[in-house]
Amino acid sequence: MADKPGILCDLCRSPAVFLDRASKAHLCRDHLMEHVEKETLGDIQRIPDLPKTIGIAFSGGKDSTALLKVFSRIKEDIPCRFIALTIDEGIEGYRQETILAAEETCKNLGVEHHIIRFSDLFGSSLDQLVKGSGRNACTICGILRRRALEILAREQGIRVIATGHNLDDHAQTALMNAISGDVKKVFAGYGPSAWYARRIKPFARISEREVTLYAMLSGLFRDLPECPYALSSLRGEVRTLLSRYEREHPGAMRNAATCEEEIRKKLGETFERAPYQACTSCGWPGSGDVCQVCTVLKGV
Amino acid sequence: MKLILPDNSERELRADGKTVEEILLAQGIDPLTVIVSRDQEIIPEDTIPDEQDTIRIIRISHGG
Repeated sequence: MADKPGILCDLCRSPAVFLDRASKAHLCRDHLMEHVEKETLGDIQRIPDLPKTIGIAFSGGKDSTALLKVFSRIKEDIPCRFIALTIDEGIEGYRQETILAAEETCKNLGVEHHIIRFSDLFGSSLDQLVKGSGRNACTICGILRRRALEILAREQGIRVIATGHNLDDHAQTALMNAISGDVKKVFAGYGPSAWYARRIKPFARISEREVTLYAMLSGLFRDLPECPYALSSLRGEVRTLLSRYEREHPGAMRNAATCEEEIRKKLGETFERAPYQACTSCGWPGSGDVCQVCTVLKGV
Repeated sequence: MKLILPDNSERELRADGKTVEEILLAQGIDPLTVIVSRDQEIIPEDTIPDEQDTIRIIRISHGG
């Protein structure tokens, strides 16, 4: 079929695949991919004290798949090797397929891969835990997944974990923090911890659409099922709201994410955090006598 | 033109010189939550399709 006339890349006049709505710039496949790789590399190179090996939190979904692919492409330019860490939460009709995708992607990219399961660690799958709890599934999952990832990272000697959180995720979190009015959440995870592995987010300045396109253009995108719990979350509502704002006010998503980042940079050192307390049940450090993981597992 | 939705159902529409974004909005689809292709090639949402075009909508799944 003959090529149809279409919109061209502002940089090379090849067919465009992406419109940056804030700058109104169009990019072709190669320049979009180059942009994602350059942004990611720049972010990693700005991170001080990277260890010899970092873990990539790898669910098998589009974001972490794109992250793993970018790392594979820029590995000669970064000062560390990387391995993939996957958590199987046990979500029927969703996780089996994404775990298979994760295994296949690691095999294709030649990346060392380790998986840990909620059922092995906590004695129950997420589905079982949600049935016996009045708590929101995403809250339970977030608390347990964080612990599972820490345990898996420790088993592999990992002290820095890269996650596939993108610009949209950050904007949503910023708005959710504002809505909940919990200032502590703005500074959660800020600053070093001797116990927990350091988290880095190399896609923090890249939009979800750019990340998705990168995965598609790399031939790694699969139309995988969406988590069945995703729609019940506050994040789902905030995502819809922010998407409308971004459409009507291009750049709104980036501004929301950057605003919280700037607040954290300017006030992070002045924010007084309560010291960690050892959980009386499991010994892990947390914010109360009993940590959130034990609270969830006891069904409180 | 033909619009193929993420669930593979199809709709016949008139393009009428509108952009893909305008067409999606008229169908109740947020253009920022999808990727769009024409003849297997990804296109930006400000593309103006022809009446003969087949436009496929690919949903961006969340998480991961």
